[in-house]
Amino acid sequence: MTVLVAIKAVATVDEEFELADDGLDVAPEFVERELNEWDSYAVEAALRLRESGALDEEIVLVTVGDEDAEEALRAGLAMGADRAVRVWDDSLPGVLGPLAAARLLAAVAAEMSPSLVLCGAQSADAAYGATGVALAAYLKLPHAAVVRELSYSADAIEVTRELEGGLLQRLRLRTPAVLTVQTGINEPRYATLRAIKQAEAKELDLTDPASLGVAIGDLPEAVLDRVYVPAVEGAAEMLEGTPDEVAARIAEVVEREMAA
Amino acid sequence: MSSAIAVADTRDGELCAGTGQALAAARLLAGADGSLALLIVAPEPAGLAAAASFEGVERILTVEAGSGTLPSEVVAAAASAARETAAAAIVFAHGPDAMAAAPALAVELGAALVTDVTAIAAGGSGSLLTRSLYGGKVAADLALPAGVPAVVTVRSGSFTPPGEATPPTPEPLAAPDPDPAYEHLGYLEPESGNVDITRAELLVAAGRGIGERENLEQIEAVAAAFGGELAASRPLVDAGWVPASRQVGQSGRTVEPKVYLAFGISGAVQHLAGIRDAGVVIAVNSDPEAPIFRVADYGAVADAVEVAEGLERVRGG
Amino acid sequence: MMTRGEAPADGPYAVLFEPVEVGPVTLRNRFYATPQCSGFGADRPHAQAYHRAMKAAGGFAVVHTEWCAIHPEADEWPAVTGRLWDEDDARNLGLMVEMVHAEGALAGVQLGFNGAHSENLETRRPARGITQVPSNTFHFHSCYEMTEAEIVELQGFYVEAALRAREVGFDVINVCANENAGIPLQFLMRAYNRRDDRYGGPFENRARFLLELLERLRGALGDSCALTVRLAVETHHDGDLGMRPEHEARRVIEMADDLVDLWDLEVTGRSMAEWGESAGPSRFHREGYQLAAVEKARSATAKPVVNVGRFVHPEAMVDAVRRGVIDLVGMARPGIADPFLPTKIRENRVDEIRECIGCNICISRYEQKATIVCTQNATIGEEYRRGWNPERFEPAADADRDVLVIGAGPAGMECALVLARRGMRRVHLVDRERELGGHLRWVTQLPGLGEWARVVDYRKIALAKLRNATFVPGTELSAADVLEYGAELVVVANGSSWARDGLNGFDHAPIRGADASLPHVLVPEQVMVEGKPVPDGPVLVYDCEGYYMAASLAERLAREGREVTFVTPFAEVAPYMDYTLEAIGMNRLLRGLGVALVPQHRVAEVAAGAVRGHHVHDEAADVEWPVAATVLCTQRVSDAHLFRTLEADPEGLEQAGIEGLYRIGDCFVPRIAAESVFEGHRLGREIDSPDPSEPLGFPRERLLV
Ligand SMILES: Cc1cc2nc3c(=O)[nH]c(=O)nc-3n(C[C@H](O)[C@H](O)[C@H](O)COP(=O)(O)OP(=O)(O)OC[C@H]3O[C@@H](n4cnc5c(N)ncnc54)[C@H](O)[C@@H]3O)c2cc1C
Ligand SMILES: Cc1cc2nc3c(=O)[nH]c(=O)nc-3n(C[C@H](O)[C@H](O)[C@H](O)COP(=O)(O)O)c2cc1C
Ligand code: SF4
Repeated sequence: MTVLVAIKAVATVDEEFELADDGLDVAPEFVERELNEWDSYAVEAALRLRESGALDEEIVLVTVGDEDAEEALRAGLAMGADRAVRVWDDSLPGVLGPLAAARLLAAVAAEMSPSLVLCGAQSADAAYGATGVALAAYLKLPHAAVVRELSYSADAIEVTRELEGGLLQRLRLRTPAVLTVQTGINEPRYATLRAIKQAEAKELDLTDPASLGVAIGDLPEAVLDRVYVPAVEGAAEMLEGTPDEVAARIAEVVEREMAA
Repeated sequence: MSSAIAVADTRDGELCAGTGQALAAARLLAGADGSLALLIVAPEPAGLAAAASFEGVERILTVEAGSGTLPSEVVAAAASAARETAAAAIVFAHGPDAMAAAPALAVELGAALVTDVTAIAAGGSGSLLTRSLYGGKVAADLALPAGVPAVVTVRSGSFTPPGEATPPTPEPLAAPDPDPAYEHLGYLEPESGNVDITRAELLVAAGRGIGERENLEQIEAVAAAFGGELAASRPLVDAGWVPASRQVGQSGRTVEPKVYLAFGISGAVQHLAGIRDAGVVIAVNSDPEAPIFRVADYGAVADAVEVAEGLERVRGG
Repeated sequence: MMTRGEAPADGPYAVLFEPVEVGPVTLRNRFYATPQCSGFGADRPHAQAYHRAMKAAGGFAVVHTEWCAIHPEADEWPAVTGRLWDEDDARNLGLMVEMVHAEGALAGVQLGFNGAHSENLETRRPARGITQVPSNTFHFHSCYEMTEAEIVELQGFYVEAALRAREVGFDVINVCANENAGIPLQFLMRAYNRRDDRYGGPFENRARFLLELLERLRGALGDSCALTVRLAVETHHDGDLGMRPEHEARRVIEMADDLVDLWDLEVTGRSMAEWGESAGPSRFHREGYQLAAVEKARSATAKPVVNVGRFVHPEAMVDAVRRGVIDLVGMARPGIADPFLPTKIRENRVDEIRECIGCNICISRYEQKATIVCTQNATIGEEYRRGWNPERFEPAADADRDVLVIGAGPAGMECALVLARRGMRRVHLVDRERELGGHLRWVTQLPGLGEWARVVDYRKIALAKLRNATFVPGTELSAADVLEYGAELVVVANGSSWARDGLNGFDHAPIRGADASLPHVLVPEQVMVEGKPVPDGPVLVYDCEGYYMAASLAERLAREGREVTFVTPFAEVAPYMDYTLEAIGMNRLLRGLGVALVPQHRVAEVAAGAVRGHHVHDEAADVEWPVAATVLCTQRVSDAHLFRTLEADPEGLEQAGIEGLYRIGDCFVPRIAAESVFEGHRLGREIDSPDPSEPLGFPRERLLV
């Protein structure tokens, strides 16, 4: 059995950048890729479950992404995951919709019937915050989103979800289950140089949508029309008057926003 | 004519601000003469339905949920409501609850999914939904596919709630069968006394413009009066007035409070780097040209300390 | 000579890149590198030229020499200043002119004559002064009082030196009348000028020397060079003894304005030793600290004005220019810490600026008669002999290696940064603590040292941008862990700790009863990091180190309301701070806080409730201090264990595939942070040399027979 951790090599965009000629993304020369921050917490959570003895299973990483995504997989392998699977074929769009990513990941998961699937709560670049839960829905597995604590036993998993304003919800789920993990659930470890070198030798399989029997075109994905640099936000609304009047207006705004 | 459903954003037997915003977005997706329904899935939905006084809501559908509303309940309820109303769009307020329900609902309905939407433009062939990418550096417009419903979640503060009106009579729907895969164990209230500024909801930040060290107490008093945390720009950390853990900015912390109230901070890029994800930014600065006014939502050209004193008075300090 | 203006950058800092006309020359922007000692003078022409050319390459519009003695009667040796005694001196400085011009900047020279303050130890000439009053800065040293003819002769020395400077191409001739040094300033001040002839008495007479001097210089130079004056507008004397911006300064500026192309206005202290009021340490002075005084004199002139004040933030510069206080932004230290500061502002790379921290270690080396160094910029002074450019790094020949750096203090951070910039495959910087900085994490919490955190900030931001560099926090590595870690190159930079038994260089032994595991005995880390309570009651701080630690802890404790006694075997409190120009201010501060200062005393025994000691020169002169707690700042001890353990296991190293093992910084020898940064930098630059642990040699500028 396996613990599957779905990860993403997210794009980070330079301070100064230009858009690609097709107007559908940032030009690639201004983009770097790295392991999504949330996903590193998910990898760590898997490693800790194994180290604590709660689970004794192979930890497999899976991602949908082009060759540039391999560095992120290697980073997860260096942390201690056992092997990795990458799904790609050049017909896939560079910016994948949330359903397509989830559908492909689900297909990989279905072949492994994992006892637990971990994902990050969201990706730093597209920030849909949807992939893990959609993946669970495709697999028809119970799921919990934005998890900050978890404890695992063979037939049930107890989690604490982070809601707004520091409120937490405790849930018990039947296993197998899918969890999307919030930063702060643990402290992701740093791989030693030796582990990084060893990760270079770990198995990294490549598969494609066709082999998984998934046709992305069939999914009801929204269509990217264009990307653009948002107009600078309108100038601030200026509060006039004596300091006390200004203070009263500020108090109003603060109270209103904090209540929102 | 199309119809849309907004899923009420509730907590603790009350409607939250996201409800009106989801309704506003649902209205845009339904079109001016489309029909609009509000779905309330909560432990005791009747009270909530009575309080849902929003203009333009034609139906209020209620579903009785267990004590801790589970995503599985929301998904089942929303799916049956969507089928019943032939909804073209189901809209949630983006947040932890929507993140747990919306994607599963989209899969369940075979619907499109667009999350964290900040604007909706109704176009000829269909609506364009705007959301941001790469931490807000870029915005993307997405078109919804034809012939399938869409599940949409909207960013807090991006849509103006509709005006008030008497709510229609609620229509209770059958509660879904409990899903044995889930069990709600309870809620835990937030811990108090948290000094991690990255988690604070209200930050009251002081910059060099507050002048003397003594004035810091005044800013701290404002933070205390409004239940916020003190933060600072780097010069105050340089000067040793404020510990480094409270520094906001590139070499400090990146914060995401609901409200960032900045006193005497000029708005250097290194500082702004730390407040990109802040909700509402309010700046008090004596210089009308201060760059912080370009990113602030509210600004006041005034003396930081005088306004801080005023704020303490307003709060009955 | 190039005088091209710069296409002003867009954006908020554009005003800083407007050209400014100064008499016959045009400055390409508003960045003005003020006169600044380098330790190279006229005797090390290559080091001098490369050093100045780096600032020109970094975008300054004009770069000055240091103070250049115009005549053998102004001889500061063994301190190194420039010299213009003869054509040979000028020729040597001419190399600097050439190289500065090649970078598109103007070259300025400062003409100096210190009067009574010139000890003339090399030339053995009597010092020429205004009135026969001994120097208050150099001990047992006086001068003769010039006759009027000798005054006229002295003006002639200036003219001859200026012509020599013009001959080798200097564009800007600056007359030094600042920091109590320039004799034109001394003439202006009653404190120095007790004459009753045409050059003394009423202000018109006291100003005569400068006015005549400027007329003669103008006459000789014509419009071939800009003629500028560096004038102290405030000297902090009592009453009318010195310079006050709204009185003496305004008057002399009004009188001389027609003769001058630019005023470089400055604030200084009461004596030459107090030039820390001018080159203000961050402990006492914030950015722009001179502007308020300069503003009072500013409107007296129609000419461009420059002022200094540790300007590192473009916002502050723009503000001072916009407000009309200054036309040019003067900088010495900010340009030492980062010669490329103007370029980085122009290119909107403000977060890449290595900001000056105001520690004045650069000045300490002048005061110690050595060549310049800097805490932030390891390459300063190394431009020629080591060929270092702060912005340029060659790919390492062994760049396919992985490096482990242990300890993220100044040495480790800098070494990791240089190695990453040189393209090593992976650089892991590992520290026990959660944050970068090593001892600077807590040292910067001491009163007055907040700006020192910039050493960490710069490196934190730079490292974050390098994909081959990783900071691994919260990880303590044993020797076995290091072998396991998987690096080919290992750099140990794990610092030092304060001696917990009072070991010190005066006794060459620990102190009886000094044991920091006892509640009443503390060391700095315990106070600052470990949170060990300082028992209630009077506290004794014992300093055998002589720099900032003990003094700062005493300040902190006193500010917390404690009764503090500061005991030190040194003749004065914190003598190393003499070098950094902080000593006078620190003494004043501690006295003001009510700290009892007890120099020249040794502690012999620390007991609960009392500390016993005696005068350093009189063991019989026993003293007992009844105190509840003692803070020991006796010496730091290198944390050498890790390196020694690894070094002792060559087989283990080999099996682990470790090809190189090095140590840098305080774990080698505890020193000032500048030396740790330098050592880290040096190792990074030379990691692919035949034996990186042995610094490469460098050319020395010496006469060979
Ligand atoms: C490498 C690097 C890293 C940096 N990292 C950070 C960082 O992490 N965080 C950070 O904050 N900065 C950082 N900085 C510093 C940054 O560039 C600015 O210098 C700093 O943010 C300015 O702080 P400030 O706004 O408080 O001060 P200033 O820029 O001096 O602004 C003070 C403001 O107060 C206003 N003011 C004056 N008097 C009053 C009054 N009576 N009432 C109201 N307003 C008044 C002024 O108009 C001015 O706008 C960094 C800089 C560098 C180079
Ligand atoms: C190492 C060093 C040497 C200096 N030597 C001189 C000098 O020879 N002549 C002079 O007029 N000023 C000298 N100064 C003073 C500087 O020109 C400048 O006025 C002072 O450092 C304050 O400016 P800053 O804050 O930009 O450093 C020196 C400063 C430093 C740091
Ligand atoms: S040594 Fe210190 S004061 Fe001098 S330039 Fe460097 S950082 Fe600034």
